[in-house]
Amino acid sequence: MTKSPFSHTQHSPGSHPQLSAQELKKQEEFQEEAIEHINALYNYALHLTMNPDDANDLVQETYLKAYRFFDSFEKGTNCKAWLFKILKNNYINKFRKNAREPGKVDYDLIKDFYHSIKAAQSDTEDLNAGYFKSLMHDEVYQALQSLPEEFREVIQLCDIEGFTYEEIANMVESPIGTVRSRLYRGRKLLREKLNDFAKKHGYTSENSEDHH
Amino acid sequence: MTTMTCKEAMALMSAAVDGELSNIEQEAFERHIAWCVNCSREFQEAKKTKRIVREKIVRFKAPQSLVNSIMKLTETPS
Repeated sequence: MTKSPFSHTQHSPGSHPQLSAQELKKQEEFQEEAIEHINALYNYALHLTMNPDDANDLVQETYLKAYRFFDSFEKGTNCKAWLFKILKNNYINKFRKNAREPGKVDYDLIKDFYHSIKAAQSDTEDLNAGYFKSLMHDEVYQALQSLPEEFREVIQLCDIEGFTYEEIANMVESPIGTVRSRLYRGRKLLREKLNDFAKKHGYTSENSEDHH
Repeated sequence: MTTMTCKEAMALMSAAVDGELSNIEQEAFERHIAWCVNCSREFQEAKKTKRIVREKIVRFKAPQSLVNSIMKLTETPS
């Protein structure tokens, strides 16, 4: 299934400019398709690693790999989903072996995380908006982080990143039926944790927006 | 037309929230929650939870240094 961008190149010996033109085209396409998802990938990496440095490394390695194997990305499919899958695989290979116990939440780690994130972000222009928002709403963040990973992950991929069930099933390597039931159970757990938050912030089921 | 049971409706709940039901499932699901108070409430609550996560979760911007280094990465011939 691998498509080589070089397959249509007329090969003339010694014509290096041809090759670099192809390379240039690859770069352009990659930058167009892949770079725009960097914030989403960074957030996903932060959620997985809870550490800005690790998140940085993970995103960087993901892009390096993605660029190297960009030929195998099927044009017209969801590039963001493809990148997420690469990042997830990278994460598993790199961190999973010595990961903390699944489902256990270390609140000190979350606190540290906020501090380091604050320091790491201090040179970006919308630090204040982002950081204050996080202080106000870290209840939601903590509630999500406190769910067992299998539930947290699907909620993240579905509700935050907007992937379809098919894409999520592919990322977590489980059938769609499993994705459905994990989302159902995960939201139920989350709802119990967010009850107070919902009341405090005026979320009621009666005024739920109507999508129709 | 056969009516959906609560158990069946629960199994479809997340897909209903996410717009992932087939037309036939959607029709049957809506028919069920039109008269089942419990399932209707569950549905509203699940939608609410999704809405809170979407609206209130913290999102960070990738640091500019990371963006720069990735742009650089892709400028090196592989």
